[in-house]
Amino acid sequence: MSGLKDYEEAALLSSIWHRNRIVIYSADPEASQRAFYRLKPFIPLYRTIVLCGEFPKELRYIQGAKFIDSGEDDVQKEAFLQSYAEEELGSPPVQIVYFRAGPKTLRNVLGVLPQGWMATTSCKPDLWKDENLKIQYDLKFDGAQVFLLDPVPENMLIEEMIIDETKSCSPGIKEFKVQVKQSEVHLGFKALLNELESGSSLSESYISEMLNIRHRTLDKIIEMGKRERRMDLSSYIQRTAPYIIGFLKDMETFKELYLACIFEGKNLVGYAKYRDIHFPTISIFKILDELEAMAAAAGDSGRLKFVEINTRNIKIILNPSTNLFGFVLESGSNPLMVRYRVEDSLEDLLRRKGNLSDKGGA
Amino acid sequence: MSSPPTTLAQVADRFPLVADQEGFALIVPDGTVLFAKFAGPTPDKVLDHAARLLNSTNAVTSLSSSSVVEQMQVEWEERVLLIKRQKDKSVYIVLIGKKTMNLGLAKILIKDLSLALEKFLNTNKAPQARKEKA
Repeated sequence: MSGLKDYEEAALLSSIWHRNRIVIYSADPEASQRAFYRLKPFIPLYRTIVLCGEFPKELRYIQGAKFIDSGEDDVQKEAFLQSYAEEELGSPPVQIVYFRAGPKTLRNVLGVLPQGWMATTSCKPDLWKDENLKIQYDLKFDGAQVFLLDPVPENMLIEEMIIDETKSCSPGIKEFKVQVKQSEVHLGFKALLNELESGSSLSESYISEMLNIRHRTLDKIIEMGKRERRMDLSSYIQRTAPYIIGFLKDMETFKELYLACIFEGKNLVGYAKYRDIHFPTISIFKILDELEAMAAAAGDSGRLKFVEINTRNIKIILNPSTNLFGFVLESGSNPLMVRYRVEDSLEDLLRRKGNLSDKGGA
Repeated sequence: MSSPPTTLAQVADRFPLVADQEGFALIVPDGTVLFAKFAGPTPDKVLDHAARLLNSTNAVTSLSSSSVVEQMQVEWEERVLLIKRQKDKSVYIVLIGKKTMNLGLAKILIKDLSLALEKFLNTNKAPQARKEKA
């Protein structure tokens, strides 16, 4: 975006995504409008845009947009508060966009809403700033000044990655990438909610595998759930134990590795996908069930200790110890080297688990 | 000089079991056991399970990597299972032994058996192919 540093653009994306309050100021209303058009691709598509004030006619054609034409402050305030309250009942989150707001509107109408609005104005900040409307950050672009009224979100890793990735892309591609991620997070939240409503217990690893998302996306899903539905799902999700996270991070150095998974019984308690592969970890149990049946038929086989499966494209290693460990690797890697390295790493993990338990951690 | 083998059994019979090996078999994942040679009575149920194991494992690997099992090694506390896919065929050599079986020797046996089978199948396929061409 012209005149903005990557960090600032990520902050704008994050602020809009997190429904922070934004005021776009310029003495020239056309410049504020232009700035709004630049920011519009950052508004998630699933949000209901509520247009107020002297909005440009072409915005009427935004799919699903609502219009509040009444000029009376009380009516507008009531309508906004009602839309805001309905979000908790499951209606799509609203994004209020107020064009050419005056100081009174900013203070008395928008100022009562804690989040979810942006406004353009040609009034200088001195005319509308108050206890509720404090400028936390301001940046300039396209002849307008953008005031962020809430602190910039602390964790902007995803936003920074999108901005960095799309640095040399066209606006259309950038919008696509932003919207895909926002929709993924939105749908992810709905999926988690449905799972919880159906009585399932959720672990971070299970979610990570089922939704094909990483840890940071799950964090974003939880954060957006708080911002858009005022629901905090974090206490319902069993987090991965720190020693398992450490182990999975260490395994990243294993360049042949596609994914690693750790089960406690049949519960997935650790999962990391290092490279793209479609491998439902639950299918491991199909193989183990057959092996168990075979061992029972043969008699006196004892406990299963190790399984290695080689195909033309992948290698699967299963290591049932106190937990069941599964690894999917590239084919062709030296089987003994891989096996020894995996076994060394497992020993490390068990040591770490022991140490952490001794200290009362994990 | 001995005459070339004319049946799978004759091919397999040329390979003695290694120490602590319980036996080996040639099986197709659909459950057909082409040949089995075991120190004791042939464990039909075990071989049925081996075929089902291959079936399930192939289903898993086909889905995730469009490839089937080429080799498999399973270790229990008291037993070892080695499986190798015959080159370009859907026939698998399945070898079962006690934990004390020398894995290196067992793998050499599988390799030699695999080569002999390949030779046998090629020799027996050639007259058939010539016949079909004619």
